[in-house]
Order: sequence, then C-alpha cells, then structure tokens
Amino acid sequence: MLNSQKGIKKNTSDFNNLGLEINRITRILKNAGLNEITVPSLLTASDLVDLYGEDLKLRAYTTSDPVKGEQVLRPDFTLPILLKHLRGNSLRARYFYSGNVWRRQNFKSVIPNEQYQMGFEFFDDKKNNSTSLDVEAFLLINKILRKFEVNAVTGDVQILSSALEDLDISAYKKASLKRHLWRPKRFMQLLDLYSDQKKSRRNIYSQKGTSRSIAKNRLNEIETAYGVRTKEDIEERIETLEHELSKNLIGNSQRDFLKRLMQYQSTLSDASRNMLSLADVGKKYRKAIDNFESRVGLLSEYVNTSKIKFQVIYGLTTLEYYDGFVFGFQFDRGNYPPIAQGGRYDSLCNILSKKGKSLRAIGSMVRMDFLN
Amino acid sequence: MVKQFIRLGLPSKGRMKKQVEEFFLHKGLELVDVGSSREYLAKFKQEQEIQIILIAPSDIPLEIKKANLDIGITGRDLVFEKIIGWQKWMLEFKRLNFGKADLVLGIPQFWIDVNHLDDLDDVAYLLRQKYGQRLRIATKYQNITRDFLIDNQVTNFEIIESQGATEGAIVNGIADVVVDISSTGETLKQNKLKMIEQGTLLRSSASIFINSRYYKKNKSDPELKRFLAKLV
Repeated sequence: MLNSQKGIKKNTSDFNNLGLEINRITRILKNAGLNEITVPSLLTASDLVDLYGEDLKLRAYTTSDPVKGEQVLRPDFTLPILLKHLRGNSLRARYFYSGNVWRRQNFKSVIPNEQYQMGFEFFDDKKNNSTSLDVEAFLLINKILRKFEVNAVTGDVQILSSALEDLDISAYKKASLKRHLWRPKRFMQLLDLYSDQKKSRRNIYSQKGTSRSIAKNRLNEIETAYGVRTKEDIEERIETLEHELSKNLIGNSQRDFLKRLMQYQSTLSDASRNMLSLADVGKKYRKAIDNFESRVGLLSEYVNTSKIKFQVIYGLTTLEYYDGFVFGFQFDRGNYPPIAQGGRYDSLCNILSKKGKSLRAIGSMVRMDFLN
Repeated sequence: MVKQFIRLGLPSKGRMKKQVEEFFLHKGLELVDVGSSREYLAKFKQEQEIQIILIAPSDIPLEIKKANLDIGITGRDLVFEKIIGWQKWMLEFKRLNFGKADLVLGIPQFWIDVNHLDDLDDVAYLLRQKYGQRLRIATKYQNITRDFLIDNQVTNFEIIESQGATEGAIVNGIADVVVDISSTGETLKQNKLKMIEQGTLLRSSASIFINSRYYKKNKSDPELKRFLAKLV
C-alpha cells in the first residue's frame, strides 16, 4: 500500500474506490478546519418550493405524505444547509458535507439520478471582505482535484449586474433586467425592447394603434373581471409600460457594451484589463472590476491564472442561485458535466435570512461518481 | 418458431376512431371487428399478419412504452404528456393529417395588457410581488406545460392539475390562466379567454408511433416493411 493511503479505511464496501476518495477528501476538508454537517435526505417540499418553483418538480423526486405533506428527496445540499444554519445563532461557519442527492435527469444525461456529492459551505459576516473566502473556496477544490487532469473555468455575475446598475435608466428597467440575468434569452429580448433602436416591439394593447384612453374605456366596459388581478392592476401596468417603453431608453453604445460583456471570455489573467477597455465605465462597474482584480491577484499567488479560463456569464443558467464569483472544474478529456461547481450566493442568504442578519456565503460541490 | 403478429394499437372510441378507419380505408385496408365488439380486437380484411388491439387513445402511449403494442396511432399530445422522454421508448414514424388540435395558453380576455408570452412572464412576477402568489395555470397537460414554460424561461408560475372543464377553473377562482387543447378557439372564446403570441405549446395531430426496440429488431422484416410502406 502506498504511504499516502495509510490510515485510509474504506467507508463501506458499496463504494469501492469511492470509499477511498471519500476518506481522502474528508481528511483534506477536516485539515482545512471544516466541520461536518448533516441534513436529512427527505425534506419538506414547501421549504424548497418557494425558491425553486416548478423547477423543483421537474428536477427533484417529490412524494406525498398524508401527515407531513409533500416531501422531496434532497436535490442538493446547499439550500438545506443554509436553512439549518439560519436556524442557529452564529453568522460564521465552515461546514462540509457528504452524501447522496437525487435528481431527475434527461434521458440523454450521463449524470446518475442518484449521485454522491461532497462539498462545503462557508458562511461569513457581510462586513468582512469576501475575496479571501472566494480564493480559499477555489483553492480547496483545486487541492481536492489536484491529482486529476482538470481545467478550471471561472465567472463573475457581479460584473454584469454592476454594469447594469451603472446605466442611466429607471429603477423599473434595472430591476426587470436584473431579474432576468439568469435567463440570457429573456435578458437579450428585454435589452432590445428597452433600447433606442428597438429590434423587438411589444404591443401593449390587444389592438394595434390603441391609445391609453381607448384602452381605459375598453377596460371599463368589461363587466366580468374575475381572479386575483384587478382592473386597476391592468391599468397600472399599461401606464408603466407606456412610460417605460417610450422614455429613458438604453443607448446603443450601452446596449452593445452589455452584449459584449455577456459574450466576454479570456484567461483569468487578461480579463480585468480587457473588461475595462470595453467601454467608458461607471463607478459600480469599476468597483466590481477592482474586486475581481484583487481576487485574481490573491489567486495568482497560488495558481497560474493564465491557465484558468474566465467567462463573465459562466454557469449563469445552471448555477441557479449564484450571484458573484463562480467556478467549475472540468475533465480535460471526455464529454462530462463539470466535476465540481461552486460559487457565491449572498442574495440567497439575503432572501432567506431574517432581517438584520448580515450573512454571505460561498460553497462548492464535487460530483464523486465521476472520480472513479 | 411461431410467427409473431404485428401488434397495432388503434383508438377504440371517439372521433379519432372514425378518422383512423378512414385513413386505413384510403390506404386500401378495411378494418373488421373480430369476435364480439366487447373484445376490442379487430383485423384488416386485406392483412392477416396484423393483430389490431382497440384501446383508449390515452392508454396507447404507455402500452407502446411497455412493448405491449409494437405500433400505435394516437395523438402526439398524449404521447408527449404521458411519456416523459418518449424518444427513449418510441419513434414517431409519421405525422397524420387528422386529429389536429393545438395546445394553447388561454388568457382572460380582460387582461388587455397581455398579448405575448413575455407579458405573461411579467405579470407572473407582478402577481408574486403584489399578492405573494404564483401565476396559477390549470391544465391536464402538466408535463408539456412545465417543459414549455421552463424552456421559454417563464418563471413564477404554478401548475394546478385539472382533469376536465379546465376553462372553468378561472371563473371558479382556482386558476389565473389555462393550458388546453383548442381546435378552433371557439371554446376559449365562450369562456372569455384569448390566445396570445408565442402561446402555442404544441401543434398536435394523430401520429404513428413505433416501439424503438421492436423497430430496431424488426426493421428488415419484410412483413413490417411492406406494412409501413403502405402507410406512407
């Protein structure tokens, strides 16, 4: 037996080589000062459904219980761990986890329905700088996967959202664009709709050429308004749209800048310089780039950043709740899904934590089944 | 070896039964009942090698998947809805020219500000913001609806299962919008509903489906080839 394998016990015979890997990674995580956390395999659906919506039913296995209500097989660790952490009193914590998750997969998918994941979640006070934890999270996964031939890809949603913040447009437009950041198709459509040179038009009224007063008359003529939405809601929305689609539009140069930013990719080491040269930049964008730069600076003390890929919108559609620094590790060869993925999810903490708790978090998981 | 008949599943009732009979007649194949009509078995006068099983159109997809039927004719909507990942189990051999109906979103007519799928996404968000509830969509076609809306990146919705008289769900306060089959749009209109741009989930019609395993194994069988050639 190799020296490096001394003291490693197989967890269970079911896992074969996986058992060795689980033990190896557990040691790395414990040595890094992380504490193991457990969450049940069977979760209460209503805790998750609010966040995932119908997506949950598409991806997770749900079952009903006459006493406990709808239950769901754990589709990931992050959310139940966050909920458990929020029930406690502390802000800061460093957890690791190990266990199965269950997800429905497309029939073409190579990802097993039942997969073994290990990973970690770091929680911290919002007052602290996030850079060092970003780097620590990345390096920890890097260490775990060092013996494999893998490539790292990184992204940063913050850069895109700060560029949006800088735009000189109404809060309404900003909010609706930001809301669609995770859905690039819809985001691009909206961007066109809100631009000077409209490529897509949205007809506000049922009949083309109708004006607001006619629309209002038509609304008044309708006797049977049923359901949750009231006539006032409809009137209000028409008014808002009429205003938003005609005034204070996004300039062409700004729209092109956002589009270029969405498509931007390079090595991590080249990224900040290039992204600054994309446009005359605003304050918040500048700050996001500074933040990005200091992260890359710190990373470059440990790894060669010219070998790490960077893509502004990396993982935007698959890493649902991440909103800052994100990363993934991919095998050099073969057509596999990312073997590890992680990122920052501060806004999720904001949504779920009680008022006054200033929590931020970053986490990552490794798909253990692909380590064999 | 005992010669295996080709097991063909056809609709046992409804308008589609008549249309299928006409379709085969047009191809020179006449359907005749075997035994009493309660046994739900039939044959073609001109083709003795085919065993015809008459079953409810909605059961045909599952029976093809389970390989109790080799070939079946039924609505595309039924296959797509009932068999998630249907391509794994069966192949669509030929779309037919009857049983046409669209699966569409039905929106209350008085939502005069909603004329496009984008509007619906926007309204779903506003409903969640203002009333703390998701856009409720009543439908029999849960799977197709969920797939379609997620594919089109619509969020903040919730599907309400409805097994019939779906259009009534809105007036009854159970749902905000519906997804239902509409061939002419007349039923929608009667219920004070309208269609919107990009609000068609599926253009359905009757179609011939073949169990994939069966097809792989038998595609060079002369009997099968001859029969399929007749249907094209």
